[in-house]
Amino acid sequence: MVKGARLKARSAGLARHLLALPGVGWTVLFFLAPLGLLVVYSFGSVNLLTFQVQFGWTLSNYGDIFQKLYLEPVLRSFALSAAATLACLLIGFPVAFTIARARGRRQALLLLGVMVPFWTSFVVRTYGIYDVIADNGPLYHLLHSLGLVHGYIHLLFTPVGVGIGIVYTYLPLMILPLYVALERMDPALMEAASDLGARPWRVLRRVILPLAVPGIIAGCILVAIPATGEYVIPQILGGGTTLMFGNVVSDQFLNLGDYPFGAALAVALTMVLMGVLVFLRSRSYKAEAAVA
Amino acid sequence: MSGLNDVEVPRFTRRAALARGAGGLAAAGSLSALLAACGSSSSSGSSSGASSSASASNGSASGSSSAAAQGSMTGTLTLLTYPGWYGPHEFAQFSKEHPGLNVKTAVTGTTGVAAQIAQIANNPGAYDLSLAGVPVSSQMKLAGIIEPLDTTAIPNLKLIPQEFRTAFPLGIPTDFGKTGYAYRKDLIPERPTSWRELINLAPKYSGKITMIKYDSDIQGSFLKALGYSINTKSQSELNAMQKTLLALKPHLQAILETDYSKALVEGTALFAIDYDYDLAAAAQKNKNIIWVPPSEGMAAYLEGWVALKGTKHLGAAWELMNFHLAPKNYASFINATGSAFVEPNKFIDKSIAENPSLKYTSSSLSKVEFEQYLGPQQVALRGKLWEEFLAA
Repeated sequence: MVKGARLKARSAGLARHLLALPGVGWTVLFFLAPLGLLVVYSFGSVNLLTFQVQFGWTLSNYGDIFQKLYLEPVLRSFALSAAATLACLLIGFPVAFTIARARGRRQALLLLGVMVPFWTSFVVRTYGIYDVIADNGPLYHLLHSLGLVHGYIHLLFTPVGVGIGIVYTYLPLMILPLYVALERMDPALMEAASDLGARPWRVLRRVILPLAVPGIIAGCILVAIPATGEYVIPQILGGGTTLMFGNVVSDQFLNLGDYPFGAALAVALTMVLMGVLVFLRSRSYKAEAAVA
Repeated sequence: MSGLNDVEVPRFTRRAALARGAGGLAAAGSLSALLAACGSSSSSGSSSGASSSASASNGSASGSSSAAAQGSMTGTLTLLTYPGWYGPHEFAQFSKEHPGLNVKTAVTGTTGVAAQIAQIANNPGAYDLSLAGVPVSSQMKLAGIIEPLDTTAIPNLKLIPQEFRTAFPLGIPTDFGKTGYAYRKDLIPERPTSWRELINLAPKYSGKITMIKYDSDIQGSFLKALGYSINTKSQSELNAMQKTLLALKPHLQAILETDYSKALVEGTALFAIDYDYDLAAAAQKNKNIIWVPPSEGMAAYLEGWVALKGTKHLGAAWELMNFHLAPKNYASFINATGSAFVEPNKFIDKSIAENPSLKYTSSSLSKVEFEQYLGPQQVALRGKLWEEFLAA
């Protein structure tokens, strides 16, 4: 009887593993294998005549990353990513709080409003922004009619334009985890803080923000990591004058044919972002434990 | 300044993708200098000109006797090229006339010589033919990834003037283009005619200048601006060019891979450093756009089709090349793209054939210096300089 139960449990476990097989296979084939190939490429060199990759174990590609030429776009990427993440947080937090406090149909509609942009192609949305921030575009006319700007403003093909594109694109990825964190917060905690004499700012600082930390960390990870390696937005909105890390990597493959160095740049960025991710996740677990 | 506004270019298909296949390198003084540099050629020894082939000038492709003997004459040929850089019905017509043969195109998504060669070298057998500039094809030859041209299999090659055949000896030349600039005459009082004037005006019109994103054409243009050959190997001349480019960069509105002249047409840019064919189309959209062939001279590319090593359809590749050069087919390609042509013929639209910035005359080429292959070290060096310029 016991033996039969064990056998049944073992069969169920095997079935579960078999169910996971397609997903694991997909990940190995289309994520881990290309990543491994990229790592192998990064230690190779390129034949300047045929531009074919010669596999080897040179570290020179990694050494070249620290040239000023490449550090500038790297620093620009981190700066733009940090600024865009902060902007997403500042814009997204009140939105997420409003949605979390809404109820029923209104909440569903607000959530739908956040997700609607995802129904359109990313590239199409970026070209939409292109038109909005263009010289003499709708944003220019709106700001002028509101009297907020006087004279000529130029946003397209500038770092500010790229930043606007990143914030617009990644804002939903900040709002959704913030919403999840704020939604599960007990409203009685805020009421209790107010009843005990805390002003709204103090309630926000001492009650709401600490409870929202897991959502803030998750949102920052979801925005900052893809934004750092962003390629399409600076390509379209930067006009070739605001180069980010993704563009430098792309140039190695599509312009210079230096696959090993392009691979080294990509692997280095992956490693740095993985380090940041591990750090932030550890903070997130601690914050979640504290909230619990 | 030439009067682009005088002649309209009616059917222009802008190169949708990313510029041509030659990057990182540079070129010769005049066309004659290029010809001299090329020396003996493997192209047709015939010196007969564009009207020499009666059978072809009526618009039908001349048959090729030896093509059928070289590989399979059935199957699918793959041509690596830019989107739409061929006649609209050309390949369907080819299949109709050659039952069992089909042509499919693969898009080159690269913007430089190195990447195009890498794409071909790392995918042996994937492509049968490729569009390539002089520098790309020359390096392909050195890399051993190109088939030697069999001129006997391409009788229509005789329709191409000898100078172009000599300048592009590894395949069939198809088109060429110059890099100059244009301005909006309704928005600025100045009437510049040189690169130097453009450089001097840049601070005044800061943020109102756009530029194509193609290393060899831009580097060549600014070498010309300084009075140097675009094919120089001199480090000091290259450094001076780089210094000029870096000084100009803060005044640039954009360095563009597509929509080169859109901002100029809309008036959000006042100057555009761009190709002749694109500015010809832009001038058609806005009559205030004035094309400037700078007095210091212009960098130019010459490109064509080459057959690639590893093709299983070599005979069919020669046949397709021959078909492409048949006057009607060639004209349909030029009429669709609006490019400067290397094979003058009566089927090319007058709007293109008589356009002063596009038509082939010795005077129009007198200030043009064509890109040449300078060797792998120069490709790498210029690539590095271009990266530095973009990253600055």
